[in-house]
Amino acid sequence: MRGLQWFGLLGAPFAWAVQHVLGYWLTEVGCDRGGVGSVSVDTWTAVITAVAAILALLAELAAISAFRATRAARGVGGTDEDPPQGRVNFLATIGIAIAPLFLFIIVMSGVGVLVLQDCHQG
Amino acid sequence: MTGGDDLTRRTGRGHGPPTGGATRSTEATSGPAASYAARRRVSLPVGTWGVILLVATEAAFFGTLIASYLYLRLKVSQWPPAGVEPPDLTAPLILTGVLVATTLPILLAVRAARVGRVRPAWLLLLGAMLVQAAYLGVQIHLFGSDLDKFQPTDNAYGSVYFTMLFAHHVHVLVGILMIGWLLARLIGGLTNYRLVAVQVVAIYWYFVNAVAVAITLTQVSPSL
Repeated sequence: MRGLQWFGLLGAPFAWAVQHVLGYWLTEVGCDRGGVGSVSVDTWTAVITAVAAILALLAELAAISAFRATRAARGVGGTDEDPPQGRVNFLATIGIAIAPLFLFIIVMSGVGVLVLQDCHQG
Repeated sequence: MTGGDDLTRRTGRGHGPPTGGATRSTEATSGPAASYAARRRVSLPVGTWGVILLVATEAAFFGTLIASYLYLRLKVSQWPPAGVEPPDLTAPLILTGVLVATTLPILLAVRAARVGRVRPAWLLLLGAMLVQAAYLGVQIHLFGSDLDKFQPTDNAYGSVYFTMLFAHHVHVLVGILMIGWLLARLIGGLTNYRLVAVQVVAIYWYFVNAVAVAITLTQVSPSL
């Protein structure tokens, strides 16, 4: 339950952070040379975006699972027992809310590769 | 066997509820019972997790503001731009010292509330709030004085300078309102809910005070 709760809460922000940092690094390093290895920057960006989006989706599912498993603790505290049901339910609720937002950010950050030419600004 | 009895046995910390027979923290509606429930708790209250998440997002917000300031500063050779005086050092540093000093009464108020001593907690919070209100009053005056010298729309320096300070002053105002609300609630005595609220407001203020240091150092950095 704890694992689901933490993955549900932090999985999507972590996926976005990794996508952001890697995307920045790819652009800085790859665009000088026309690619990273034999693969274009756009292809790498698409792969990273897809992986990050899947991670964010899994985080949403984990948050929903944790929320459903601790529904009974909602509004009654639930911090007197171990594992703390109230905390799990609360953080799962936050995870359910933020994972779609981060999924949207991930998709919007990566969707440029579909319409923009490799290493060219729009 | 109740959940509370089981918990007491597992944690080995309880000696029986002092009043009211509350077995869950949410049932604690008196000072001693709230204090007892807080000692037995096996996890941070949900309210504390809420304020931790709030502080995390606010830290990202202020981090972005400070990063924006430094980014803009590194892009130009003259900072502040011609026609704008470098910021005064004395007043911002003294004011920040005064605000940071309110960490102590807030910390002591939390300790007092945790042992069920509501009156000392109330007085300490009131003292902190009065100092914070005075701080905000002087800061608003200085903000107005700065606006007489240059405008947010004049250049990038003015834009980021006023945005940064305004954002922090708003956070101070919100913190003062939170303490005011807390003082009003504590008049009716201490409950589990109010004890958690004291801790939540304290965490918020620790954060605001830490941000005050970062913002002030950024603000006065051209004069250092």
